[in-house]
Amino acid sequence: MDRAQEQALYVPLTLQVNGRSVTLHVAPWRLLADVLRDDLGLTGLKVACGSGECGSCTVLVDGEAIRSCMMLAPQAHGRTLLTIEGLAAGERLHPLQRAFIEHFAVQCGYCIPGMIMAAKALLDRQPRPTADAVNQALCGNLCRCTGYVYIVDAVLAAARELAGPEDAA
Amino acid sequence: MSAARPGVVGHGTLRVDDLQKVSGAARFAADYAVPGLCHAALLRSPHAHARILAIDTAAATRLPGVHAVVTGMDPLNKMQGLEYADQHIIARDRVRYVGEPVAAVVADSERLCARALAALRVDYAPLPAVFDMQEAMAPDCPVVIHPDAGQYTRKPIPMDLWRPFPDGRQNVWQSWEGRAGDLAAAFREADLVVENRFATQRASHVALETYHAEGWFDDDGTLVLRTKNKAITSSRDHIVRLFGIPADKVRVLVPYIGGDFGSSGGPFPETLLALLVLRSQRPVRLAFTRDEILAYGPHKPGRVTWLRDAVLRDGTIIGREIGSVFESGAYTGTSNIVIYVTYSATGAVGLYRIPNFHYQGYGVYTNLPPGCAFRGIGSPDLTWAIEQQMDAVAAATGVDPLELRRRHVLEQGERNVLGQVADSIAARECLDSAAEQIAWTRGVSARPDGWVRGLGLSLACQLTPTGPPAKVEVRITAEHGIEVLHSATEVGQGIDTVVAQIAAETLAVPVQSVAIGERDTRRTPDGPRTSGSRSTFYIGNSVLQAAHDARTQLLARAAVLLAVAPGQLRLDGGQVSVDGHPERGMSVPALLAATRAAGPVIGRGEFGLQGVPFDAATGHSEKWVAYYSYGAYAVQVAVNPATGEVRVERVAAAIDMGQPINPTMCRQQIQGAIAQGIGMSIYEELLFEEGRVCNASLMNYKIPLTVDIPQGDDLRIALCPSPEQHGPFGAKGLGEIALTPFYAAVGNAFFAATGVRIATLPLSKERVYAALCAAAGQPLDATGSARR
Repeated sequence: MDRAQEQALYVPLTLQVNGRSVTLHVAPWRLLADVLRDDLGLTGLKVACGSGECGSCTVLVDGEAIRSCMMLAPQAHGRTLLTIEGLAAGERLHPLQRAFIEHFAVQCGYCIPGMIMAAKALLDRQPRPTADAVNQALCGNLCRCTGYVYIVDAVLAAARELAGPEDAA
Repeated sequence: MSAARPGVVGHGTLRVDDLQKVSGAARFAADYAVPGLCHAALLRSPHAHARILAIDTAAATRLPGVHAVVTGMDPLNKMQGLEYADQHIIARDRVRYVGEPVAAVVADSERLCARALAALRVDYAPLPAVFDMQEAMAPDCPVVIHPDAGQYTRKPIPMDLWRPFPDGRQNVWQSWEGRAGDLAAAFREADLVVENRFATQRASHVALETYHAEGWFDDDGTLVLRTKNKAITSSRDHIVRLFGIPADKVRVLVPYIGGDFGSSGGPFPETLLALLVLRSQRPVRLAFTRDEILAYGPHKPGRVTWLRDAVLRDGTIIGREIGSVFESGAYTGTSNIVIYVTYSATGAVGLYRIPNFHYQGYGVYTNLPPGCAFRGIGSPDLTWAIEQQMDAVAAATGVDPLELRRRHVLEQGERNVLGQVADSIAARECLDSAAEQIAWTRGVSARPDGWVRGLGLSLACQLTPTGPPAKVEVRITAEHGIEVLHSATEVGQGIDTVVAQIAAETLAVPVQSVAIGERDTRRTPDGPRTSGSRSTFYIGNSVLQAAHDARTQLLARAAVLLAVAPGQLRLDGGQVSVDGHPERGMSVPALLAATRAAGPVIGRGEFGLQGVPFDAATGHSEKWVAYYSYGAYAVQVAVNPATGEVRVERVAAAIDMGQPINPTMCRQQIQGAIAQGIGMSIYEELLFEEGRVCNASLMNYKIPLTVDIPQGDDLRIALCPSPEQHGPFGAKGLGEIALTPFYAAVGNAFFAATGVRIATLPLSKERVYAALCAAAGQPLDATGSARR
């Protein structure tokens, strides 16, 4: 298949990414992770296994935590995506990002964008998770540096900040 | 030792790299856009050992969009090696492991690369292979993996003893012997002899970032490589030396590294990338997937250790004999695996007072993928043996394992049997702290849940060797403020924060005022690899010197302007003023602007430690080790006899890393080591069939998850610092000692729980179930079921 034949197979792809609408033409076999990284320059997400085992490529698709290395780009057509780059409001970090810094949840940082997005999906559906719930929600995201302890602390701290004190609920 | 400035050194200041890392802005090697990048791919050997008879590249070379097809016959395909040049960049004449590169292609796309690889034809003549290290080391082993090894060049290691091929053992590339006292007399005097054999597994580092690198020629003809290699200076030097390119025409860039744990630092794969850029004359991207790294390495090597102790009835160990073998796979060239052998002997004597001693170590070739350094450079594997042996001696003599260790541990200032003085040792404090945190004397109470439980202890030392200087620059300019240039790579350990803290402390500014320069051989001063728990010590000392130098220069300039002696000036918060007269002063930017003609202030530091060579007959050296760090773990393990499942339920750590520069970051590293220790103790193992890895995916090679790690009250960490006189602010090293004692604590706790000692890591369900069945007199049948 030469280049022209290949391009004839391309499909239009419209995405809402980090609050912005983008339209591309992509080969239908391309992975969402590659389109986000290579075509849109959103290199925060990482591809560390390519088989859905490590969670480093986690992004939110319509609010759900998705492994973008396991989703074909056209499957995201017309949907709303959030990546780590879209989490902060301008200069103002999201409480999860701030908590990851303040609780020393980060070492090499390679897993962190995926970890934070998985945590965001958890807190969006369960604003006051227990430590067990955080552990369960993040057990599809591998980290080799931290031992996860401060990551769990950070997610719980962010949850407290986002949901406010218990009696206010 | 200087006093710590409040709020900087000795405090858990926030990390300087975190803002970028939580916002997705931190860049790793794969995160840059290089225009016109071509792809590279490797044709790998399907054989563990074979002769290459012919390679037909004609069809692949003719494909449009293919820019280079390189085989072992290329004249630029040099022999490479960190210490021992035993490996061609691409196999030539012979392949020695499954997955060894046989040819490489560069093409416009990954798919074109795949087509080019498919068009290559290779004729092999398979040879018999050897995979077991004990078979490989035998003098009569019929398989000789490197028949020409005698002619290979090796880098002289000035202080090391190099004894390849002892006693006609043709696959043994290094042997090492250390001795003290009179071992034969000790065994004659002994009331009992305790003898055991222990083994550890081949495993993968699983640094989250997989290998990715890009190379291209700049407009001025400079070969630029952006890569994931923790040894920036030596990475450049290998390219310069192998390809004969002038040093100023090679530039190596190393951005943030997504975890290392020993997996990088050699000449390869950067040598391959350089070769492909030279041959294709295009920008080239070279990357390995997770599955490739799991399958083809480099791997943490496996190790077998024998111990034989001469013991008195009261538990005193009066003599110890150690034999320890590890396999490097087919080559040693890609990593500093060579020094494993020396580390091991020197590490084996750093903890206990055992006057009569003999150590014999071997490094052995096998037809497995190349081994390389792994966190602790073999010490955790050796400690797996030594610390279970300590418990075996305790059990044989009826002495409490804690008490037995207390009796033998070295004291501050005491000389170990191979000649090194314990300058800063809190080993006993670590031991006592770990035992206290886990409530050792209370033991574990039984629970009616079908699981059995036990406590285990382990104590260890980890050495960092003396070594050449690390150069550091502290640059201060009106435009850019304070910038520190240093060669240690930021692999997640937090070295940039440590450097910023030390510079901030010395220059009396907030940590946020210190910027860390990107690692780029064009600007970064030369320094050692980021390994061996050395960066805080070597780089930290050099930062201290460089920052003092910069401070002195600033004050000298201000002294001229203010017409006072430099000694009358103080520097604080970015202001220089006459001591006691804050109104007589100026800001540092104003000072720099006023003295612009003198150029930027560049403070320089260069700290190294000269060692004393080993005595060839005994292996003694008064100073080969820069310092030992120490650590202890006490753990509670639960075992399910019905399934073979093992869980680490509680962990207590006590670590002596010298004075912590940032105690919170110390805890970070210890927590990470605990997770890695749990994985290595219980489930991580690469499984081989005829030299081929069978579980080369994260689906089948499991590393610990959130739910596998004890948290809350079940995880206790104590820092037990013994300040090191030569360390910056008294600091030593941490990355490795945080792991080294771990596996053996699990092994000892498993024994306490079950009464069965499993000598081989990991304590996987299959191994545990089989061992428990065997101990109960119910051997397994061919299907793996117990006959009950």
